[in-house]
Amino acid sequence: MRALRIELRRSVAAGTALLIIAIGGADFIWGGASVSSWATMTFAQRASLLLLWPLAIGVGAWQARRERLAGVGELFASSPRSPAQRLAPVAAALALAVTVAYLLVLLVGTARVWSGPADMYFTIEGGAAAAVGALALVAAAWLGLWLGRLFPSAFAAPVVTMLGVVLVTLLDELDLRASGPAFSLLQPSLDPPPGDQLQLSLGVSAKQGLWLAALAITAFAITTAVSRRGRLLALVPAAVAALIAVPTLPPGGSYMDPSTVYAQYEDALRPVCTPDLPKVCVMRVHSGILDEATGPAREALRALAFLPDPPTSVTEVPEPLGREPAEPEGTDKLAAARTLSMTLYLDRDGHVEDPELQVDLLLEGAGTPGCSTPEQSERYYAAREIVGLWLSQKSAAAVGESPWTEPVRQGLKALTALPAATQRERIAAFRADALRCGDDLYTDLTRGPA
Amino acid sequence: MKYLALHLRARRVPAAVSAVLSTSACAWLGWFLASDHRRAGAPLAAVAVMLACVAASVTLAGDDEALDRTAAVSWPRLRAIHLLTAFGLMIGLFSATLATPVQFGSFAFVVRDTAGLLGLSALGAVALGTQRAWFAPVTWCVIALPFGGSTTHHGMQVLTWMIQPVETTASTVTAIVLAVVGAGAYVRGTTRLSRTEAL
Repeated sequence: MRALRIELRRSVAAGTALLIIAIGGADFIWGGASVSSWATMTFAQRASLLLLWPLAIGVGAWQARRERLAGVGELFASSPRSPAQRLAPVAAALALAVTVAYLLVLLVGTARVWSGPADMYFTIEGGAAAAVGALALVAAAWLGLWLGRLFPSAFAAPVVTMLGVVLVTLLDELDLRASGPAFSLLQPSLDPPPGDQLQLSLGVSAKQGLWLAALAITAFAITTAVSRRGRLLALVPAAVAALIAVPTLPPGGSYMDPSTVYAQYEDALRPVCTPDLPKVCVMRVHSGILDEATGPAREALRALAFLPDPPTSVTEVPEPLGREPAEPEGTDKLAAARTLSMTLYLDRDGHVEDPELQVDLLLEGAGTPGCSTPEQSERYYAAREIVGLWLSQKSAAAVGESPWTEPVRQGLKALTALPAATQRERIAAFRADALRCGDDLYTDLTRGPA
Repeated sequence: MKYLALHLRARRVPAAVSAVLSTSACAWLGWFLASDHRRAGAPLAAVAVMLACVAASVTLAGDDEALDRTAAVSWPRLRAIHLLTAFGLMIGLFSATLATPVQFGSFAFVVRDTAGLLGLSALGAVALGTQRAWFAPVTWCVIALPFGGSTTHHGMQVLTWMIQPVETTASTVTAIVLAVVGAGAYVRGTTRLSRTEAL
């Protein structure tokens, strides 16, 4: 314990901790990480390892120079203590420093989540993602210790740092280019999750944890090995872990597939609703901003109230992931007609970013779910946008830039030229057709006076 | 001549030169084998320049700074000559690649990155000692590289100045500030005594 205390003061441990807190904290606070739930936050913190992991390798390599510089290797070798016993205090000091620093940044993030509108949601998955992040830094620091011993040069530390960056980038690149397992999961940095109800799956965390722990053991053992046989034996843990983890990793390039890397967080998806009518529900993970979501949702319901059989409630649905089809199979059309689906877009502090945008999104297509329209998609989307603009009583000037800007302008002009009662009939006809995924919604709106 | 040879040896210049040549050769060869483009990507060129500056930073002070200070030599002049020579040699090396199958950026890019990163290394040497001078350029590069790419955001242009296109004013200004401040601090001041060496 005394040796550890001395090493904590005399090694680069303290400086490393400060570096990690500074860079990790800055990346975390200004880097746009999500703070909508704790499990998502620990996941998002892993993105900062893109910078911290190579730096931890460099710090380890730098620390390894010390004994050589002091010229005491021969003297120490004559002592009865084994190399492992001698390296243990400095390795422990580095491990402690990086772990504490990573967890301190996590604490800052936790405070941000706590002060925000989100529910906390301490989950095992979230804790595992954080633990693997800290473990990754330990493995990196010990890997650096080994590399610093292997190449006893003043240039070793800067060069291995840059090689660490190259390695991380290459593994990511490999995923995009080649099929096979997701090699990028062998390095610890991850892209932030695309939705608040998602967390890193336990299986992926377990495999990454196994691999990184084995890497740390191998690095420590190979640094302290005295014989060639010892060095070969030291490679065994990393080799075994790679043999277990690599073949079972989710396939590369399917990073966006929620069933492999991410785990849907069922508890966070449960709806939380307003007690009074019209009913507005949000995912439980967003229950803190139910009030903010209620305003835009009810505004949309009011705008649709004139329709025959109008929608009576709004419920939040998660943002669709990259590869999910826009409309899941077997959606109950009648239920969809009564309940509008809303995707909330939040700002960095976890509040609704733009209430007006939320209303516009709800009113687009008169609140009907999207249809898959391989043909005529331009006219289809134009029709949906026209209805949205008409319902929110916007003029043609508000038409956004899109491939179907021109049909929208023309269609809106044709529609608003009709008598007011006919206009409402057309919108009702559009809605009825859109719920059946009718063929030509655009004509519903723009055909001349009846 | 004798003093020059002694100075170069005391400052570990041979080792630094071989380090510069080997890291640059690795970067050159890596791009030559991996890419069809003649002009190396900005991140690779910046890293090659950065590693050369790290090597140069080791030569910014001798092993025993305290002993050096007792000598009746005009240190500011000697330091200025040393730094300028290092700058000139690196510019020479990297602009020589303009005539080879792999080019490390344009001439302006090489000058901007070498000036800024050498200034940053000199600043590191003044603040942390020559042994730890590499912290500054390496850390800045590690932070800047993942954010890469050209951007119109001025803050990002400053943060990732070494890989921005040369036309961006913010990156040029950052490089000039680093070069002037770093060289000024190094020439006028003294490098910090390294604790290990002071033992």
